[in-house]
Amino acid sequence: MWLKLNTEKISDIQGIKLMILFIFGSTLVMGTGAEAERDMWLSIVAAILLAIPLLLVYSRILSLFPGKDLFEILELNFGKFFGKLTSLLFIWFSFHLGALVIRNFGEFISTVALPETPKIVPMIIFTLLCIWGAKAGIETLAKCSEYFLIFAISLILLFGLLVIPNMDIDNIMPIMGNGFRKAMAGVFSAITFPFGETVVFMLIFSSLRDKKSSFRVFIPALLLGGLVVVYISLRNIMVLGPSTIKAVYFPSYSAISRVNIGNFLQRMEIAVTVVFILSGFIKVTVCLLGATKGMARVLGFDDYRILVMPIGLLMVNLSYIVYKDILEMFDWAFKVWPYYALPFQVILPVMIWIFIELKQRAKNKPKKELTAADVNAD
Amino acid sequence: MKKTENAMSNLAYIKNLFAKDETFTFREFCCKNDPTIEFCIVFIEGMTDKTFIHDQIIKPVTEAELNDASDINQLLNVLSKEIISAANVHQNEKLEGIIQNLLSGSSALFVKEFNKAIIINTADWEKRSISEPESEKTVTGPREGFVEDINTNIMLLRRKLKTSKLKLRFREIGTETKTRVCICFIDNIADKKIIEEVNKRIKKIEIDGILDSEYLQELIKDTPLTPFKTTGFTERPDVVVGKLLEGRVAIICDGTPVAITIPFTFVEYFNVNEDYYSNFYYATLNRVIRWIGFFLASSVPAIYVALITFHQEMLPTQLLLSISASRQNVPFPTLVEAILMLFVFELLRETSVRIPTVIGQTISIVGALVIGQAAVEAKLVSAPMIIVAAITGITSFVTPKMQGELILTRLVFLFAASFVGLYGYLFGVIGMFIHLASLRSFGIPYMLNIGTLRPADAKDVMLRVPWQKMRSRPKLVAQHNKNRITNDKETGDKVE
Repeated sequence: MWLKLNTEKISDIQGIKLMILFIFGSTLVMGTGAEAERDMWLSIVAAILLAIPLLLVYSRILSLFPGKDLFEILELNFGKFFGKLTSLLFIWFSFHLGALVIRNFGEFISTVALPETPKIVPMIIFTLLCIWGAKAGIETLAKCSEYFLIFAISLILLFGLLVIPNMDIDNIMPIMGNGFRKAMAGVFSAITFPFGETVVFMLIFSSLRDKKSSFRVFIPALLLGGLVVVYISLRNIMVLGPSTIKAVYFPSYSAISRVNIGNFLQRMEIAVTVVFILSGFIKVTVCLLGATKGMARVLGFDDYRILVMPIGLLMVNLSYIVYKDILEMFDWAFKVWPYYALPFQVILPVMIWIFIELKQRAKNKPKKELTAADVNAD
Repeated sequence: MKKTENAMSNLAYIKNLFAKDETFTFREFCCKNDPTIEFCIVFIEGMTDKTFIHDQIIKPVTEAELNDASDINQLLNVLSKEIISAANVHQNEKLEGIIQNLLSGSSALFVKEFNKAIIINTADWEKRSISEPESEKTVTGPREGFVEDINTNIMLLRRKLKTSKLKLRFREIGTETKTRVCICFIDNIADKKIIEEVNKRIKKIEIDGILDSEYLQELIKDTPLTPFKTTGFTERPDVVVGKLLEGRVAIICDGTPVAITIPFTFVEYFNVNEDYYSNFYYATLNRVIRWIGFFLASSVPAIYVALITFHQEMLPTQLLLSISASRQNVPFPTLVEAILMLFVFELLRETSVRIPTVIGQTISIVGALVIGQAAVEAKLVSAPMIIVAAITGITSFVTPKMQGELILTRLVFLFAASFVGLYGYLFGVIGMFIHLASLRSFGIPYMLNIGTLRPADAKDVMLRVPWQKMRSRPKLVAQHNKNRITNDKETGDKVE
């Protein structure tokens, strides 16, 4: 084989596509920013804008150490012990996030389609698929994401067109009718789900091509992925209206189920499922990759692949016991998750970034002739 | 083989070695002029041209005016340079070399018991004449096909490619069969890395015999266990030349009309030579039909089973009613029904491949009855299932090179769908994508970069663009010489 382990490279465009699908992940079916009710799309727009500096921080950390993932960066800057300790936190976050998405998937399937099948069955099959994907490596995953994104976007566009007759512009009017404060109520939850979750990519983006790549991946992916999320939430609210959207678990699913063209094209919800499965697969696999790569580094393994199976199976275990039922899942996802995710997505990265910047500056000061590139080289 | 210089002369050794093989002919004769100079010509009957041996070797040698037999080396030179009038003559004194040449149809002329022999290429045997290959028919375009003889095949290539850049390298594979294998490529166009890799992998082969190029294909595969082909195969010289021009490497194997092309990518399953010989709108349409055929052949049973068992609500009411009406008295679950029908179809297919054509009709009549009306009337299967099996069966022949792969994917999808409905089917599709995306053919990504949708990568996939626009070779295959028209200085020979 020509392909050597750990030397996998992905192009910037592939990175963007991977991240867009990651952002779609469970967001497109679960919805986000629901607190703002009819202005949820405004909340999401604000969340995207606020997420830009956050993602700039992620990119900056990665771009200071090109070709290294967060675990290596942590070990380089915080020493072996503290580096591994912080790594463990991120591994846990990635692991937990993956488990939650698997659970979202399980609940989704058992709610909308297979109520009599035990939800563990589709969850296990789904996880096995993700294990396969993670074993195939990030390069393969990135290639798959190119095809999946074509499917996902064309389905979203197609059903965006088909659902137009069911839209009612009055559902979003008046804009900010409940006041600015209410309109921005969903910002916090929208940042942490899904935009801040891209912190997981710091764990696997040692495969980017060059120094500037991280900027070129994070920001366009945020904007493009965010745009689709905004569009989906606009579509859902215009089709369903603010009161229905609160009552249903999976707004996209309910919105698309209203499509009825000439009594023949109807019950097309499977399209939503396709998008969810494709993007959810990418999301879980990325999380699994992040967790396993981190674990391999902490334990000092050369190849992460032997860890994929055990960690993947642990993930599906956690996902099965993490919630009692779907009510608890939604309660947790919207009420607890933002606070729970905050340290991993914002506080820790920002602290790491400040620490690294200070360290770099201290290193650069005594010898002025040393450029940034030289520092990166050693 | 033992050194025989002292114990036995080469001639005696050969006589001894092939004593039990009566096709070996040892014809002894001498020169008219000087009967002390004795000759012996050795050849194998059936592999050689006897008239040629008589007219061009025995006759001139007996009638020649030879008188100095003291220096046999000198004599041999005179013989091969002045007397024997054959195109391909050389001298050899190594026993192994002589035997090898004899076995491939040459004649060896010995003088007395002298070890050195003149090897004259007299090979001539019955060959199949060039005809259109059964497996790859076309409506328009050239109709020649390869035959089993490697020299004829190379001639067919040469005739289409009159360039000095066409390089042919011979290898011998198989400890017993010693099959000649020819690696062909066009210098400057084919990627050196790929050629090197092909050479390396061929060198590594350890096998006793090669009867068909499939042996080779399996032995040089990147991922031996994948059901998908990572080497292409064809019986048509025009296809091989087309691929050579795209920068691929071809391997022609003696004894089989099937040539291998390397690297092979997934889209090549769907590209047929006739695409390039017909109008590009029509060709594009055909390609799209082939892709749809692939989708139908792999997915229809899975989707049908999923819809009937899990997602009845997705079907329009009328359709659902008529399907359930026809399923009313059928005793089997849909999955069993599907597997039964697909099995019967594969059974019929496999039977009709091997059956003598005379009995063939019987099979088609019985088959039509069994998987047709009778099965439905007996309530063994439902009518929609027959349609599903028929669609699957027909569409799987749209991409004839993909038979085996299709059966496998179809079964995997079917079982996945029978577990969790369309979700299972989707899992199967994702799995297939992971697998295909992780494959490589001689270092080239199996799926190329189609996903980028950039014209340079995707123009010859679903579309067949007009030749005016087809100015570059496939991007990943011919990495260093992408431009088809080399005079074009603007983009020619650019290295990225």
